[in-house]
Amino acid sequence: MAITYRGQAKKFNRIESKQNASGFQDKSDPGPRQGVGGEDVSLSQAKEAFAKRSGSPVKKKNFYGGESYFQDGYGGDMASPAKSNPITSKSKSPLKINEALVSGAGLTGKKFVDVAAEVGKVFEEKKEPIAADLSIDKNKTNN
Amino acid sequence: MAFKLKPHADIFGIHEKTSEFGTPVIKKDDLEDGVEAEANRDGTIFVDSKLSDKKIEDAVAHEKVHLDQLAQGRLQYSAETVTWKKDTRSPARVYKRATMNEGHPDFEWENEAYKQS
Repeated sequence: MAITYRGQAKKFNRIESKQNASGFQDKSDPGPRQGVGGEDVSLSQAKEAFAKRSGSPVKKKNFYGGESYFQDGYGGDMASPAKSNPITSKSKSPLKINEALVSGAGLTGKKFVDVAAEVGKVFEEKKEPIAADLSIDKNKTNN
Repeated sequence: MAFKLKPHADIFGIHEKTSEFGTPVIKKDDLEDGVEAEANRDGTIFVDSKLSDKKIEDAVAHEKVHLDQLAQGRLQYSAETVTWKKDTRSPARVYKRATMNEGHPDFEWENEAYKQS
């Protein structure tokens, strides 16, 4: 069946609407913006929020795992203990210097067995034995 | 009324002497027992705030080797595993974090870091 110009345009529009469902982000929806400006708030809500900002800035955990000062009433995710989660705490690093382990390894002198490496050795290719060169006749004398 | 502004490093808990652009060294009080420093894959380094400046410098030098390994794509970790690929000819080895002794100096990546720092 032939596709008309209008049919083709409709098809492309349908594809495009799926591909750009959330603007420039193809795969994930950015979700509602919070605390970064641009959110829709009414004037009365804004007045209420500003009225709550009575206290001095408070030291809280920031996004990077350190601490920063936040003003009370700050509406961003970082200031919300329920939502804030430092990027490093999502999977804690195994790359660490552990004092006890280092001194322990030095004291015992016992070599740590890397199991994965030992298993890997089994699969290592062994060298082929060198074949004898049959072209040389040992019994032949040069007389 | 006069007041003194705190330096940025104090406010953010950063060890200014060893921090570099892209590699902030953050002083922490809540590291596990016996752990002096940690290198994170986001480029940050955590150090125990109770350490002396000299010890922090040594620890940061060690952790920077890990950051290099991460940047080179030879080392990577997730919440469950650590993956180590020594060089392009070596197979990638996946270690389960639940069963491994994290930070043990006999692991190849730790060994390399101890030798270089």
